[in-house]
Amino acid sequence: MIRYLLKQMLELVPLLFLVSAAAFFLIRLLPGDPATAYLNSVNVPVTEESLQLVREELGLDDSVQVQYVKWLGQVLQGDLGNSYQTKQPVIQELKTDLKYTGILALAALVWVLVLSAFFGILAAEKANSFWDRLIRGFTFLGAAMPKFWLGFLLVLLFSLKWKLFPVQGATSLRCLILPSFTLACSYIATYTKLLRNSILEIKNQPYVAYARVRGFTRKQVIRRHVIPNALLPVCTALGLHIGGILSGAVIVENVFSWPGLGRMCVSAVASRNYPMIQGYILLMAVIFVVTNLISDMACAALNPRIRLGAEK
Amino acid sequence: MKENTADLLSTQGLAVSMRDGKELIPVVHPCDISVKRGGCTGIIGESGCGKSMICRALLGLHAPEQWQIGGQVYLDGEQVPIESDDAMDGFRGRRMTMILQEPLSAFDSRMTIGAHFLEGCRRKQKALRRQGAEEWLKRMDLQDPGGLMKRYPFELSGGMLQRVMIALSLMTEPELLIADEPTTALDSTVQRDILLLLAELKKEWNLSLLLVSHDLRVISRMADRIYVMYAGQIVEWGSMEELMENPLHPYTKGLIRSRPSYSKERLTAMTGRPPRVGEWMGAGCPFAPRCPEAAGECSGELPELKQTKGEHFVRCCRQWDRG
Repeated sequence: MIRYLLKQMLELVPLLFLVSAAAFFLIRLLPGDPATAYLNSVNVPVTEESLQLVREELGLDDSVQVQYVKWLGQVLQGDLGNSYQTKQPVIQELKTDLKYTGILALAALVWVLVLSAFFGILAAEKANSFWDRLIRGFTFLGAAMPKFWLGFLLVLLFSLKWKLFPVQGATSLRCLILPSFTLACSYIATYTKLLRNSILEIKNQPYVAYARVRGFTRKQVIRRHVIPNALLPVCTALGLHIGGILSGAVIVENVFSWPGLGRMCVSAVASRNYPMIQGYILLMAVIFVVTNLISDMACAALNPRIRLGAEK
Repeated sequence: MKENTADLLSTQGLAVSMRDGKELIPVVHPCDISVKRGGCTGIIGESGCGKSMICRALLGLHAPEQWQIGGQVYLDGEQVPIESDDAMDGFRGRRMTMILQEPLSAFDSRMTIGAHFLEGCRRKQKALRRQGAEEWLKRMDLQDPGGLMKRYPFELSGGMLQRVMIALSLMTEPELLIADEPTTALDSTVQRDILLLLAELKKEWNLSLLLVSHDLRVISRMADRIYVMYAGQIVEWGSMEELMENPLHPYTKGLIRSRPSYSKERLTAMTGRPPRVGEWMGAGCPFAPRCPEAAGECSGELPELKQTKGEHFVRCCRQWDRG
């Protein structure tokens, strides 16, 4: 297991290297000049001298290649540079934003796990019944609705009409409910469907019939054999989706003014705040890889076939 | 069939139909099957003729939303509630159980062999159960039962798993063991060992066995009573000796002829294939299109299952008069 982990870690190095290069060069292809954007944001008139001054200060007067090598050198020492706007270290900024996005994503994950487990098992147990059809209709709707639209609809209904939840902000637990549900909605749909189909498939497996034949009741077999086995594909899919939930937060955070990574990223792009964008992309790459790794390990723990295969 | 005290299991008009919307498609036509106390009944027929359906029906494994089960089943004179999933819990895994044809797929791959044996066991009884399981595994001629208990199903060979499955099933101390193609997934030397083991256990435990196979060699080695099935119907049945020496139905004759043996120079194969479920609509004999002895009368009405002599019944209008 430890060797497997180390191998995965080693594979991470060239990947991160590629991501850093891609992030660095691609954002420099964007139209717009960071120095101009900076001058505009601090209300200094844009002149030749002021531009020159800002470029020197931000390290933009070197050629792109030299800038990359300098930046990479910093990154390797654990320094992602400073934000153009706030002059704070990028790492510090990312840390506070990550905390908020983390909370949002975690809450969304709770929604996903609880609701899709409930609806998935219900739909599978009552397959082809009225409830199953109803749930299937909702999963279709949930998967098809764009997040920003759903977010606005929820705000309109729950915040403006019924005044149950605040429209935006991140000051209390009640503020968390609407954005996290908006973020979770399409995943709830996906996982409900995944779990339902997975349960129905497992129910037809010979080992389920064989457990019945050995005298175990329907409920016992569902609890001990059907659901644990049906959760294996869910576990794999979660590993792929956790990164997606975190990056999907971009839209939701902007709809609900949630002070997380996604909103930071959008404003960083708008102001051509290169170090912040690069830092965001690198962080996301690490999160994607690490969550994948964790889910791989969770799957291996749940499924001896994978565990014993990986050790060989 | 009359209530017979010599029989442990008997069915009356056991039938299985598949629900297709509002329609019912017959898969197994009403059939009367019996297993002698301490005896072995064999059911033989090509794939898709309804053998496994009978096994599943006997254990009440059909989901009522998709299947309709008809007829009665009696175990030791007592009616088996095959139509009620909950009531079957008193029979399934207690008085009757089954071994399946694909040993690997019959085990939950997340669980060790030991976990399968200990499933549903209370903590206090675990040590005792473990000991019992290891004794059973030893009885199955398996080496190192203690080590085996820690292995996962996919780490064992098919033959080993089939032995484990027999142990697991017999540990419930059933009166009736249903074996659905128990040797089909195994290679021929292992097949022989498993059959010998089953024969031995049957003797030792006075076990009654319902053996289902498409392989006449397997059936003829074990069974004392044979049912030949074709297209969801019993076309001929009788005691093993009588049926093997004096087969009447052309299908049975074909099965015996196409059995490989060293003495024969050429193996004759039957031509054609059995009708699919729902394909044969009930007019005439379902075997007539493939039958070498078919005549005009065969496409008229479905022949009844009639007694020829003693324990020998055949469903063929051209054979009743001969016997």
